[in-house]
Amino acid sequence: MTQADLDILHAFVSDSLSPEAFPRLESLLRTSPRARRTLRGFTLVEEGLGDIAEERFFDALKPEIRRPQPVAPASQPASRRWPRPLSLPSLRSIGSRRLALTALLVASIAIALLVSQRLRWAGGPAGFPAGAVCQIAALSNVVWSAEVAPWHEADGLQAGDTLALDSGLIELAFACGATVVLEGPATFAAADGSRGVLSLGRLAASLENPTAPFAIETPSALVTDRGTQFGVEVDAAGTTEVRVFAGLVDLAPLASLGTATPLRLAAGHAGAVDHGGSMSTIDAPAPKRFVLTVPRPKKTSPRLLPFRWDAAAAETIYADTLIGAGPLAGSQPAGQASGDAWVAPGTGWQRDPDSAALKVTTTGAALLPFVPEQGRLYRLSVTMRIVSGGIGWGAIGFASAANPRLATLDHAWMLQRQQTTAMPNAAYAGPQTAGELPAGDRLTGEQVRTVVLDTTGNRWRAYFLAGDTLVGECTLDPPAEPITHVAIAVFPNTVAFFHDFSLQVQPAAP
Amino acid sequence: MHDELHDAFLRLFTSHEPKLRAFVRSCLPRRQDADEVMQEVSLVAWRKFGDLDDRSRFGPWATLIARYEVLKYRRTYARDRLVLDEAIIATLADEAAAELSLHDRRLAALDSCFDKLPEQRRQLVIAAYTPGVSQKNLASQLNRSEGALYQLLSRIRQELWRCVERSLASETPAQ
Repeated sequence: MTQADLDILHAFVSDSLSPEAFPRLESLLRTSPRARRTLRGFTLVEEGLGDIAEERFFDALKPEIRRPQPVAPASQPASRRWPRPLSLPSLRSIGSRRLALTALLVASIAIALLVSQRLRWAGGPAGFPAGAVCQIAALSNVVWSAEVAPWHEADGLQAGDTLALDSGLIELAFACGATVVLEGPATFAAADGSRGVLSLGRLAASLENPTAPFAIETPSALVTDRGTQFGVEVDAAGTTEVRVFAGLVDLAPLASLGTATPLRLAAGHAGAVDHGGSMSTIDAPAPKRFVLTVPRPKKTSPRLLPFRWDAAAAETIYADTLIGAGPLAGSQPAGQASGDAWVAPGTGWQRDPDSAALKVTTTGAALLPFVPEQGRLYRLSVTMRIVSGGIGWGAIGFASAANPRLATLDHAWMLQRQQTTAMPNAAYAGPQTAGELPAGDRLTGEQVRTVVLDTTGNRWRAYFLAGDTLVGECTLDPPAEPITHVAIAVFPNTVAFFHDFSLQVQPAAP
Repeated sequence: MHDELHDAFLRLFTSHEPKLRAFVRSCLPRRQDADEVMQEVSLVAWRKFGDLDDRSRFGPWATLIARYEVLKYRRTYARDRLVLDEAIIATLADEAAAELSLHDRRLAALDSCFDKLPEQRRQLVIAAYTPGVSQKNLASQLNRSEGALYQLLSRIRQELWRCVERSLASETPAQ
């Protein structure tokens, strides 16, 4: 590399690169491993000097202010913990530095609090889908209204998503910690992480350890929960009836919010707002039974899969034994009419006649075009054997880009590692873990790996199998990039064999 | 339970943050890009933390999230910023992940190399990297042009990286 090239790399790291020099930078990074290594080196220096300056800056202010000690991992080099004090340059007075430091500390504390709060708010229940305001925690005997597509357990509802059921029970977990059990017939919409809209039917809400007030809006009223249990029922005329089982609830006519004083109801009491906005208490309310928790079904057998696959009804989209000789790249799977050919690395991905399989020795992916349609069940599978690589892996799944140099599977995918201790059979939805077999059940050696993509519901789901064993399942969040390919991938320093690749489809099960 | 989860996450994230940040900056070298991605990485990692069965795998797990967020960031801003081609970023990510184990040794070497700088240069670097100090102000106080200060700092950084490479090359390989 020339000095000019080094200057370009440095300019990029220090954010002073001109747009004219950008093509040269990309060319360098595309073709030169040394340039990429140097770029990493410059970022390390940039980042490291920031740390060094910060540490020595705080050290120089001792004993007035001590830098808050971070958690120091045991592997951290001793020289990184507390370096020797160094006198500050006399460019600015210590007084102005103290002011700057004070501002910095105040800002840091504020940011830390903000981040902490945001982290807590973003959390919700474990496994809460990204972007969702609530999640379906359980379903029982639900019959969906004809005009809506069905939802599944663990689906996340985003603001505005509506549930309409003729009968049955649905339990929803809201981001604020509230639980709602909806009884059909009912129509309910998620408004945000602490608010739902009940248009018709009945529900019971529980809010323990609230992080925010929880509210139910109806056609006639707003019911605000303050850490309690209550039931709400809305009839066809729009009249709202509220019963409080524990704690306190505020009931207010929707038409006069902000002007009328809410009716505060305590445990054992009930109130109502009719469609005209008239509010009243109900003395000695007749007993009504609200369901507070949806009963969970007993655990199913591992072999009882959560989808119905009818092999006789399946149609083949791709089928390739991967047996033969020569590079995989450019070859066509047998028996498919589209003429699509494998996109794969030119080297290190060879059909190996000796092993009657595809032998892979370099990082990358082999891809075939595929765009899923709504209302289908797809079954993608391959037989896989990983013979070396330690924590490296071979994988099968769905991807949104066709770059054979990258082992990037950014939708539903599952891997197999050679080593058997650290997640050797893991399944993923993008970066999120979607399943792993228990330690005692982990599978090694040659196995059929299958990813089933179910597009029949509002939220697409994926199921992952190693052999006949269900490894995991997940809901796929609406992707930033749509699925465009199916793929086999290998990463890195791994030798893997694949054979009998197939992608099949069948219409939704009745 | 939630607090225990939160505390466990913060402990793990804090201890892995330097390596994660190094990984992100290796893919997106500009500081402001890395800052934005790290914010997302922390939020996504927290959201998914309940799914992580084996907390000893936090590092590789979080690195995978970081890789995903880097590529997502790149796709989001590909049209309106000078952002590297996706294949380049992915290659940088692969190589950075493979080199993460060297991170601590490189930082230690950088510390050592920094200490070998002449006193005046050490003070200049500390001044330039002190939070809140702009290069423009610093150049003014040193009676230099901003361009001249930039060139000087650029030479120091390149010199430091060469020193780090030499240091690592001269280390006896671990047995």
